[in-house]
Amino acid sequence: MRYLTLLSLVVVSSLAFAEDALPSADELLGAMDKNLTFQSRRARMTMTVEGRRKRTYDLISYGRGQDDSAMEYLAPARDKGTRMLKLGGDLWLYLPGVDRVQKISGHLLRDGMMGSDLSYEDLMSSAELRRAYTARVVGSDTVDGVACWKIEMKSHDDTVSYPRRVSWVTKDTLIPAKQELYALSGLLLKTWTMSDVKDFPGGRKFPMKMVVVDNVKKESSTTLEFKELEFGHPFEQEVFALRWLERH
Amino acid sequence: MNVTTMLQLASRNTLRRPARTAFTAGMVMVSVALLLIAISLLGGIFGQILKDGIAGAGDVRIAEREFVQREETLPLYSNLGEVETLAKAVEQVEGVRAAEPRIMTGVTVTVGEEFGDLFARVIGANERYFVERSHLKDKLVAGGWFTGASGELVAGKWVVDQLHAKVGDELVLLGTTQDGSMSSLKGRLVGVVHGAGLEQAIMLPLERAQYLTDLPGAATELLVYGDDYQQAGVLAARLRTLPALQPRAVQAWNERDPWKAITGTVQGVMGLMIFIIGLLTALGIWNTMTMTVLERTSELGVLRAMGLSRPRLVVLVLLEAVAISVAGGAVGVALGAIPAWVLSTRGIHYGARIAADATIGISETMYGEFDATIVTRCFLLGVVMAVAGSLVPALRAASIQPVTAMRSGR
Amino acid sequence: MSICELKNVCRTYGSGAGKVEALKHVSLTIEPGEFTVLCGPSGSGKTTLLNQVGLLDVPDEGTLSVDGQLVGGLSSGELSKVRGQKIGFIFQSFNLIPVLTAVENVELALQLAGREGGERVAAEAVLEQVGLAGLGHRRPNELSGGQQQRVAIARALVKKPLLVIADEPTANLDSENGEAVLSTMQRLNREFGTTFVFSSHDAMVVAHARRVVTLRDGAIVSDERRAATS
Repeated sequence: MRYLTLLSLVVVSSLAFAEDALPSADELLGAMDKNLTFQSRRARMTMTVEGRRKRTYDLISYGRGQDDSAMEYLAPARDKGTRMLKLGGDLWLYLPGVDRVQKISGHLLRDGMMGSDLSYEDLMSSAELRRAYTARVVGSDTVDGVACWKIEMKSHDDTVSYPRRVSWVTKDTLIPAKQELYALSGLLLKTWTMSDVKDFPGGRKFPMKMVVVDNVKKESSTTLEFKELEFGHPFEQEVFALRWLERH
Repeated sequence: MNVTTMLQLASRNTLRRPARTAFTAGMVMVSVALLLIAISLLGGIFGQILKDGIAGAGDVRIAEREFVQREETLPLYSNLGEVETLAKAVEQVEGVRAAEPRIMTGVTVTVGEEFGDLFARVIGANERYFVERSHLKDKLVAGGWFTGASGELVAGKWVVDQLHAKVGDELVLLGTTQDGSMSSLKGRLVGVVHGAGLEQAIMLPLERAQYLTDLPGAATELLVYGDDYQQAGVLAARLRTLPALQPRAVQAWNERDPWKAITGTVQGVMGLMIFIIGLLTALGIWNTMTMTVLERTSELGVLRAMGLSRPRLVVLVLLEAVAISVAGGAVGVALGAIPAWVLSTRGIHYGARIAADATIGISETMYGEFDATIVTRCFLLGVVMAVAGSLVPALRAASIQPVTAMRSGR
Repeated sequence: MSICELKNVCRTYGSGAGKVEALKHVSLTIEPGEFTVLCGPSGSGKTTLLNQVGLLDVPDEGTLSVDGQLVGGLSSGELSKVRGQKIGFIFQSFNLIPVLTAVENVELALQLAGREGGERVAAEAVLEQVGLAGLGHRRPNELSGGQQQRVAIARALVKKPLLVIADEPTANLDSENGEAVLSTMQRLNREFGTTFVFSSHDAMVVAHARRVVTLRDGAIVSDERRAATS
């Protein structure tokens, strides 16, 4: 039945617009996941928050699989040495000024980190979309002149941060150039764009620049720019342990 | 009829029915005495709450408008930059004794390894504010005051008790900066203070609070002090003319909550009380004068027949009521003055526990307010009640037709 | 010029079923120096007529003028003033102010007439004229009926009014006192020419009057002038 619908759609659209055939949602999600998720990743990035004041942070980050991640602030001086460790559903924050560890749990993980538009979860998880969402390719569209597939995703897992998503996936790089992230109520929570896509070993493509706008908080946007990025690099087990957090 | 005769007539008339006059005068006496005591007590308590509260909050407060609009959330991003310069400019204005910058923000506090969840309020200000305005040195119950060494903090007794901390312990504060970033500070507890508004607070030198909140050279409020808090409105008006303060909110203490609300409430309560007592007394006088006028219908008719004009007749009746209230009021004032005076000198002792628990500043002992103004006001209130109560009977007297002088004879 | 003139005066009280026509088209002129009595049975309208003459009441229809001035358009305050200055009253039940002494009661009349200064002297002089010299300091409750009525006369006369109205002046007095009061009034009428208008059904009073106006059912049925009998 699905095939028949797809065929008629193709016939109709090729009659009208002479377009390519729509890919399957599953295929698209799989391709996106292949690009964006990883077994291990090491990155050095700058995060610029433009809100009432403009602030720039310099960060180093280690990611392992979908759920484990460690980050450290290198600049500015005020925040230098602040470290975060996420293991599964637990997050710890180390504040160097007071030499103390603060555990962050539950809904706090979805708060903006350092007052930015990115939450701890946004920055420190990298979950496979295919596992969490059922998707439907809606059609074609362009974002900033680039041809994209428009895909709508609904999660079957209520615990997910964004139960509904609309993504514009660029046709040639299969990177979501723009994503609109919605709450269960239908409220638009965030808009996430990705650009400056670079090639990596193994056919991976990854965006070197991301801009996130929190649509609920007004007049604020956060830009992430990767300065160094490495995938598949093995690290010491130590990074993903509380010892790493408190080391001097 | 001249005034002397009218007064003579009015006062002699009051003695025609001695029992009735005594009863009415007695009513006036009781209500005047009650009013005097109640006003003195309320005024004293309220005046004290004000003074204590204003001491910490400033006669006039300067802040950004947005800060005032969102005051419950204490928005740090809405702050006064280069606040020391601003303070100096403000201190040049006539009538200003001092301008103190202040930062208030919420933190969680811990003693020990991990962060807890005890919520407290940080107050960051200069030494002068803490010592001269909040009189914190006088409120120390343990430890001592800041010595000037780095990393010191003073905390309220409730906070210290909740943390099971003691002087010398290291406290860790977790707060946020003006951008919403998490921020932390640790300090050594050097002193513990006790008193209203301080129990849940942690006092820091201004620079440390500025560091915690990432407000370099800034503060969220500038508290201005003059010579007399009752003149705050005048001072605020003068400050508003300063160019630097044009875009900002300049509020006298009585334009800000909670005092605005409290003042309103207290005035409302006092007004209601005066109204009720006054109404009851006026009704009593109404009754007395109505009977008087009814009894003397023909006599009043005679006066009208003899040429007394209506307005004068009204005044005659009013004068009689005033005569009664002057007598009753004088005794009432004398009676009420004794307890009022005692209240103003000895006060009522509430006790330390209640004083500490109160959210608004209450001292352990509350004193009444007693001065010539209050006494005069209560006395005059008695007269006003008399006039109010006798107005309708007086008007009724004026409508007596002169013919009644003829008819009543039969 | 007549002291008081009524032309076609009507006065009605009450309404509906309780309506009473107290005066029906009454015309009367009082000349200066008259010693006139209005008489008639109860309900004849003599008190009503007296009230009109004394400006204690105004007519519903017809005109009333006192000392040449029409009173129809006058306000209550203006009427008061005219009464205070020009008309003296003597009531059946004396109606002295009980909290004032005799002399103070008399002084009051002068004050209400708008005359300031010398009240005490004038008051004492008039009290002497009515035979109460030396009793001025007493309050009404310390005086006999006859004495009180004489204070009332003094009070009525002290301001030298145009007209004195007396409503049953002897009704509350015994015959001896009644006689005394009446002769006092006659003497004053003769000596000073003050006009007196009474209402009375006392035969002795009627006998002393020089003009007798009789009323019945709100209308004048006779108007007799005669020489004084004493």
